[in-house]
Amino acid sequence: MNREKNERLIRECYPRLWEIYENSPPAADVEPTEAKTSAPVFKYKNAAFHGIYRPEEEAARLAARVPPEAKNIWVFGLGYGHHLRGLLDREADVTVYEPSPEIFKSAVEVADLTAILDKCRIVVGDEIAAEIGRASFKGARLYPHGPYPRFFEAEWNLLSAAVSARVLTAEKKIRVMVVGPIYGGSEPTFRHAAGALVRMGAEVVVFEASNFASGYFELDKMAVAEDDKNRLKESYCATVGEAAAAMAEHAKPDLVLALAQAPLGLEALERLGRLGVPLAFWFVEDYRTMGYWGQAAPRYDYFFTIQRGLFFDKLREAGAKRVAYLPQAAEPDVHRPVELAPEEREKYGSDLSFMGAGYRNRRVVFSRLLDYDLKIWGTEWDLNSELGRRAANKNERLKPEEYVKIFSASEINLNLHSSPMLDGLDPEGDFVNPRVFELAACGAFSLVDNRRELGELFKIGEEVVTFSSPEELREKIDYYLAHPEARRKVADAARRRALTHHTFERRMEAMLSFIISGEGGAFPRPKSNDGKERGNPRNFVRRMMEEGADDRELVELLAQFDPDEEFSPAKANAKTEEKVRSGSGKLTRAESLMLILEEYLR
Amino acid sequence: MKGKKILVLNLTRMGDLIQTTPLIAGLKEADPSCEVTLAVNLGFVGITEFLPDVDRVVTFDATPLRPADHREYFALDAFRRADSFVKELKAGGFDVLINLTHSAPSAIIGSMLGIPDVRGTCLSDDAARTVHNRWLMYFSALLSFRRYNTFNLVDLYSLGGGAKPGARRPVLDTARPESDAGALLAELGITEGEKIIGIQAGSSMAERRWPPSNFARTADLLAERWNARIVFFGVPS
Repeated sequence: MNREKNERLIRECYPRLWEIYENSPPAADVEPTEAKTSAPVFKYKNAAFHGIYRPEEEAARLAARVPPEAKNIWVFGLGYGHHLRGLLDREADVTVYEPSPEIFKSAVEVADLTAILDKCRIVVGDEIAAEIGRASFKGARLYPHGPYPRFFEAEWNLLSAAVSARVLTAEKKIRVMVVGPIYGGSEPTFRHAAGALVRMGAEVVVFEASNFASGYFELDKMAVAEDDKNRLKESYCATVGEAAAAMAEHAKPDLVLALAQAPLGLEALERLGRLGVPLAFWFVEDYRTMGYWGQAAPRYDYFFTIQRGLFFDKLREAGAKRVAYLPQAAEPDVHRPVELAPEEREKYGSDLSFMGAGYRNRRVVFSRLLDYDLKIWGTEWDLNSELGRRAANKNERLKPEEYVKIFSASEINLNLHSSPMLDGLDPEGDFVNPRVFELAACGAFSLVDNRRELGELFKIGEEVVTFSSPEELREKIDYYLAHPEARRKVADAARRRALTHHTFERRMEAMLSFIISGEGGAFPRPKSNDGKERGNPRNFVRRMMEEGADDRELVELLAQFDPDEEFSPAKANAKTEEKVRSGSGKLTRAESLMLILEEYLR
Repeated sequence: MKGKKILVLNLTRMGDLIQTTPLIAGLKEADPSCEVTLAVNLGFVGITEFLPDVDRVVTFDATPLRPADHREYFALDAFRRADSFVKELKAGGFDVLINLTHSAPSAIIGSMLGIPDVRGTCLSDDAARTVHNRWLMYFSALLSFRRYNTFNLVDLYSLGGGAKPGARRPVLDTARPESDAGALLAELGITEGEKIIGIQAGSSMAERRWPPSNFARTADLLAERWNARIVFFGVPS
């Protein structure tokens, strides 16, 4: 009976949910059962998602956690909805994200969802990405239900990062300065990251180091001794870095985000450090190939990488403060399926294609594919070789609009990560290149060499197909050329995954959320009361009074100051000095300790 | 009164700590039942296990009070660290404080402990810095007339701390390390009879450190000229 009521309501009022419901697979992992009170409950992968005694009590429990002033409530997990019933009479927007279409299907079949559907906005599965893009996060508060975060960890991380970052951008106008490279592979990442921040509502100031590229290349072309040339280029980069720091002083950002290859030398970083705002670095490079990270690591407050494991240890040894994994991503406005005219399909299409630079390992592997209809795109290919003769663009640089045409027109897009040390595939390869995400977002089928981090980003075999040897590559080419429906299925799944989890907006949310938590929740850092220098948020009087509430003497000492003022032992001691001068009593323990603290700071 | 509990506050560096040993030996000689607690900076705790006659060691980690990067300074953490150090000392219930540190922080710490018998620098009730004991008063003023000073630091410490000056010299309890060194050298493949040159290259103050490359070059030259094996000394900190 519940099922008919639910189905009728959803079919009539919520067409998108109806589509999801109809297309969801049978709920194989969901096992409906009854609680002791006869209320419907279920187990998912053998874990109870509602209490098996009195699930009705979950309503009061969640309602007690949500303060009455909350007007924008987000709940992670629909389940059978018992926990939501205490929110139904609230004057608030309630959004419920159910990560599993399977559980949603079972809920529609078993529980009475009509009142919940009337009150709450239900978002299911991959729909969350679009919902995040259009929802308002002002005043949003997020509550997970029961075991959901444990079973749907990726979705929980996604939503909690999105809420934390977007509440910030909705409620506080934060200004982010993004510093790009003079030239190089991180240029598109710089643009996409800045664009994502703008869409999220941040005020973005970009430092276009690439505007200085012509000067750099002029120096490179000069007929002078190599030593001189290197010195000149180095000092040119240092000047550009100083320009970035000067711009930051003027723009007064709340956060500086530098991309790999940004021309920020030690002096520029020192100057940026004096701004008192967090400095973040997104090192979208292979640390084994590009070694400059060691010097940069201790200068940044936040260091984001595309590799983990050993690199994290090395970064910490090098003095990095806070390190987080932040893989590359796709930009859905650029990386999307495109309709091609017949002549474009002719020009860009082939059975196999590869887009990228002609590194040695790629030349070795692709030379074994010359019996296929193979087109090579990109630069640095030896045009006189047999493989180079397949270079359709003759080493001319292509624009991103052309990339996506190639991706869409190719039956199989090959993706082989570059390896400067090997002749073939890198068995130790860990990071995932941007192409993986771009191809996925384009809905293009690809075969990619196996990477250690890949399985955490895409479901291998379902959302991405990998190979571990040139022989396996040939086998999979033959299979997938013969099975276009299998290609389509993988490519569609990859696109859904990319658009939900692997866009630049997701990455910027994760980045901001990590920074917010690293700053102890006080981000952007408050300004000192003189309005000039920003200090450490934990040294502000209000925060210290909260954190040190158990120390009565300390609280009394702090109470002499403005709560929004940045505290320093010297300020306390100025007051102590007055007390000593006027002969008004012995020093308290807190006053004495402040004197000690100031001595150590001298 | 016998069996006094004595706190020797020495938040200085390694050399000064070693030069405190005659004072401690003198205190123990005068009253073997006295209990000596030595308070030291965490960075120098390594040497204290070789100081004879010390009954207990209390360490002070000043890192949060003076972080290398000013952005890492958290006043509350620093406050709590200093507070817990003072509380730990206070809990010791000492009868005598011998403060050999002569710094303002040590004077403030001394004044917070409420110890009846103070030798060395301390804050008075009206927050004035005062030095108790004439020898330590002399020592605290030493910097201004150092070139005319005829007393050795070891004797100043002993006299200032209330021990009788004697023919005592700084002593390290090296019985255990000697046996350890033999095993360590064997582990490093250094055999008996080989010439060994030891180098102590460190200093806790950066400006007093010779560049590592200079030490490396010197070590190479020594090894070549004397056909010697080079051993560097140091502690983890």
